[in-house]
Amino acid sequence: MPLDPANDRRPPITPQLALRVAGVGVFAFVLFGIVFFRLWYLQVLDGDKYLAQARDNRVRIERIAAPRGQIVDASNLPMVDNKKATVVSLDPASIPAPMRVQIAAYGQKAGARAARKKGQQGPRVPVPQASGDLLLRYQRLGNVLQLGVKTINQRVVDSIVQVPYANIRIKTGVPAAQRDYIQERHERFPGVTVEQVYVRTYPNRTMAAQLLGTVGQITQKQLDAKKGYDGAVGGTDVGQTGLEAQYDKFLRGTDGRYRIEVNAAGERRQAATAVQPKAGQQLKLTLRQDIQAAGETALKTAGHGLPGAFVALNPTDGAIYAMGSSPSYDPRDAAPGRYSTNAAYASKFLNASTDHPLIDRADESAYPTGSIFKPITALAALSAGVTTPGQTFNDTGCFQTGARKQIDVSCNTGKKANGTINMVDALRVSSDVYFYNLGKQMYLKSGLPLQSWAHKLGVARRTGVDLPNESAGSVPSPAQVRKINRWELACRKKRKVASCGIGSTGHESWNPGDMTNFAVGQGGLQATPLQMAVAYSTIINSGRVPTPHLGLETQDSRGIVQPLDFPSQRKVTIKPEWRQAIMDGLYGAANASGGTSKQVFDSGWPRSRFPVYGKTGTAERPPNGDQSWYVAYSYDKTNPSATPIVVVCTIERGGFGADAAAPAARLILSKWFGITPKLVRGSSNDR
Amino acid sequence: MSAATTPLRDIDDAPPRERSRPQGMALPFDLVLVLGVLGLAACSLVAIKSSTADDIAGDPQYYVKRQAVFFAVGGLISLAMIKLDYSRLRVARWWVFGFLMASIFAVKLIGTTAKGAQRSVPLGPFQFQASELGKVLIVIVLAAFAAERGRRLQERDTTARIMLLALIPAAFVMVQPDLGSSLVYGAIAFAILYFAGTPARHFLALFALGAIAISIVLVAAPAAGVQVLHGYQKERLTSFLHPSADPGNAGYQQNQSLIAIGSGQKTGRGAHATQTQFNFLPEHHTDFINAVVGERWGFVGAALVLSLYALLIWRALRILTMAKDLFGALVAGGIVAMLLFQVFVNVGMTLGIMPITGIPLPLMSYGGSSVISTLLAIGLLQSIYVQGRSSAAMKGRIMGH
Repeated sequence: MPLDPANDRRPPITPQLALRVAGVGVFAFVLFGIVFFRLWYLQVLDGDKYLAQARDNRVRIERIAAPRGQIVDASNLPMVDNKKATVVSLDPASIPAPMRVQIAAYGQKAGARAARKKGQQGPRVPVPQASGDLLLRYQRLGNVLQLGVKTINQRVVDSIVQVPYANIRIKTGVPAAQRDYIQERHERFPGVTVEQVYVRTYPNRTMAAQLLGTVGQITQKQLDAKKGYDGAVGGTDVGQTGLEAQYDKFLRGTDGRYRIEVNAAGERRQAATAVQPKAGQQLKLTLRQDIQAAGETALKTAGHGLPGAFVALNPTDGAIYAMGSSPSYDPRDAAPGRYSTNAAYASKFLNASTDHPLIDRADESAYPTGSIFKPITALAALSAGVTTPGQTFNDTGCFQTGARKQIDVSCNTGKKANGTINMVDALRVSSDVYFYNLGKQMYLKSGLPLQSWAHKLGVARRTGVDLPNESAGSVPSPAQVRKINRWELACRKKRKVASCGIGSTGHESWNPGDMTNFAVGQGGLQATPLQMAVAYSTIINSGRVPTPHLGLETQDSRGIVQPLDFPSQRKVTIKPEWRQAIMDGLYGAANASGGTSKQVFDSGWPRSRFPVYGKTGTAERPPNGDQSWYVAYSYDKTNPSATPIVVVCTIERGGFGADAAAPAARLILSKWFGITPKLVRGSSNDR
Repeated sequence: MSAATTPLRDIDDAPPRERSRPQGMALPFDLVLVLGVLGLAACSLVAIKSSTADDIAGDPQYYVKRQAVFFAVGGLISLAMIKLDYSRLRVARWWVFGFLMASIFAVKLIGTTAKGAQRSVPLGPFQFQASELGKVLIVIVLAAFAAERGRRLQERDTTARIMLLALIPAAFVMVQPDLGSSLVYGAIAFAILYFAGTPARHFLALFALGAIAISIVLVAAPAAGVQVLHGYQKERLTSFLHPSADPGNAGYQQNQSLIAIGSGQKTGRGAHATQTQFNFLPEHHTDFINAVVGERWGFVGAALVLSLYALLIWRALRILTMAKDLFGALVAGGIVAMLLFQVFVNVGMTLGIMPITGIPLPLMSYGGSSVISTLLAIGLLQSIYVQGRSSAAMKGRIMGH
């Protein structure tokens, strides 16, 4: 059949077409049905949920930073203050998502690398670098802020790794000209915000830095932990170390809020109700700036600039007058963002060559204490009944601690024989042999009396001072020996080496030698200077254990003062005659002839008005040199209850106690009593 | 005799209602269809006006004014089409196809790039989007080709050629990239084959081929290192299945669209509509206009708009049955498919049951090319209606005498 155009002009509606049209009709009906059903589901059944989400979308909460509370000393002199500063920061949401993903991956890799052992860390993980548009934005920002692109990139990377959603601080303390330039050209700096924040200032720079601690943006960990950080959001400054961390909930205050309606670009449509920021409370310390300054200077001059620590506190109530650790640092430098790279930060604060300025040696470092431990041994021996205050002992210069004649012999320094001495004499001349004997006798007693007395007086237990990271220390004991054996053997097995160096053989036993060493503050003893101050205070208090503290009271913005409460008061039974014997011994050591620190207080110290009770210590701490220790207790005889003070000084590698630590303690006492300071070194070579 | 040569049946076998109606009362066009279009135009203008007041600083009426112009121009074209003898288009089908391909190439050569896609040619102050007009043109070309082969519609050859004719422009549009329009072309081709009476086995074969093609595009080609679809296209095509998995990126629009529509509830949030007004939902005046309606006027508003579309589809199907010839019927069928597919995919996209493909909502979404092209199609429907009715009336008159 030839195709004829006219032929296909057939009547359009065939049954087949009708059927197909009907099919499409049904199909369309079903489609519309689906859409209607879905619409009904979304809008009528689930509408409330979406309405809530829409409201969430619209409202942004903008923070008004609350100034942190001041920290002042006992006479209201500022230790930490605030100043307003302009901060330029970058909204992490304005960094392209692929870059953020890259940075997160870098963070994980770098974290995993840092967790591996040194030497097995493998190659350094390359820091993601900005490119293209982002690089251009960094350059533009860097030109204004006078920062390199690399620095900006590093800050962005560090911040996103640490706190992914917090604003990235690019520069703090931006001059007005730069601030205005950016604000006037807002659209040329996408994601950049300029805000006023309070930054911490430290009028005394490095003074008491470890106590005061640092402030930094809240970390992801802290955000997740929630506890103690109620109401803190990403980007809030919180105390990270020291008192700033300990009293964060008082100091931080409550940020104010603007509720702002925004559009999708985050531009303000209208500002709604504002909650005024509530300033943090002022924290008043028991610290005295003059004593603190004198202490830090004394530690440096008397201690030959070596690392060390000192504590000066009131033995009656535990109020700390001064507490310092050398070397120190400027907390401003330790704040995040001061150093562009982690390596630069480490070279200033963390590497071995820095002597670890961040550590507060007064309460975070536990050392062997040497002879300043002897009063504790004396108390234990008295209580265990192995001696009495009057009982004498013939000090021949050396002592047989164990069965083997050649090896198990310990001697006084220079094998000096002190002859027949009682407890008071032994403390005065610091006879090692006398206390070796007490140690050996207590070894034979059941119940480990020396360990339990050390513990009672606060050694190997936290003092409860109001600082984070306090170290507990430890005392040697059979259990400790067993533990060390276990560690050594487990370590050998795991690492498949002949010796790990934790314990020498892995099969050590608890020997008389361990006890005799412990009796003179050596062996496995690890105690902090603060613990020793508490132990001496307890003896001075006839058994009442004070809780050392730095905080005194808080004061809110309305001026309402709230005293901080430090409930102490464990009691230890110390018989008056025991206390008397020890105090006599300590007095003799600082005043009587043959006393280890007599020379230090000989020239110009008004003994009649300010009696000094003191004990030197010289701790062996291989592979380091001997550590110099001194504990002093004094008061003003004209007003004994008002001015008691216990001072503990220690100087790492400082040599004999009378040579470094005791002169430092004298300088601190001089300041406390208002006596002309004088550096007098003693020459006693007794430990 | 094959089924292709179904015996001709007289139109009088079916008693059309029109014929019983007095001639004098008849309008020269389908009034219901016109009312439906006017209703949608009104909805479109109101929705655009309310959602774009803040989009162009200093000119809150910018979009609504332009959209009104588009409706006016499109309306005039539509009116002109009523008088047109659409059969001429059938004769000119190769010219139409040539124009279609030329416009697509023109976009490639002199087109402007917006949001990463080269889809339009600047025409004075307006952007002419060739792929939109192409939707109507491809209806004409395919319908004409099928009508031309009216007696060979059962042949495999015909089906293959029609598909080829549709796939060539679809492929070029897809690389613009404009995935949505190319999908519309495909839907139109299927509809025309369907209404032309292509046997079911051809469809089955086409579906099988399609399934193979899709698996090549999505699985085999990426495995061999050749990316046919852009990453974002694949993401969009799949992200509607889990919109909240990645609300920041691929699922963002869909999520915001759901929030907008859902928050409208029964009667809408009116002036408190924040999703679209504060720009949480981008493209709210174009592809996501349905979300504006849903948020501002709630279920009531959205249902009204949907009903108007149902009305349109119904009238178009009715016109299909009234067409005086196969060409007219197929054109109407193609237009039904074009409207139905776009409405369902677009609305489904805003409701989170369809992937985001960049298909506008005909007559609602802001955009001159889409509005004018759709009104052109409506004009064609009117022309088919008018001629179908007059031919029926003529026959009726002849028979009646």
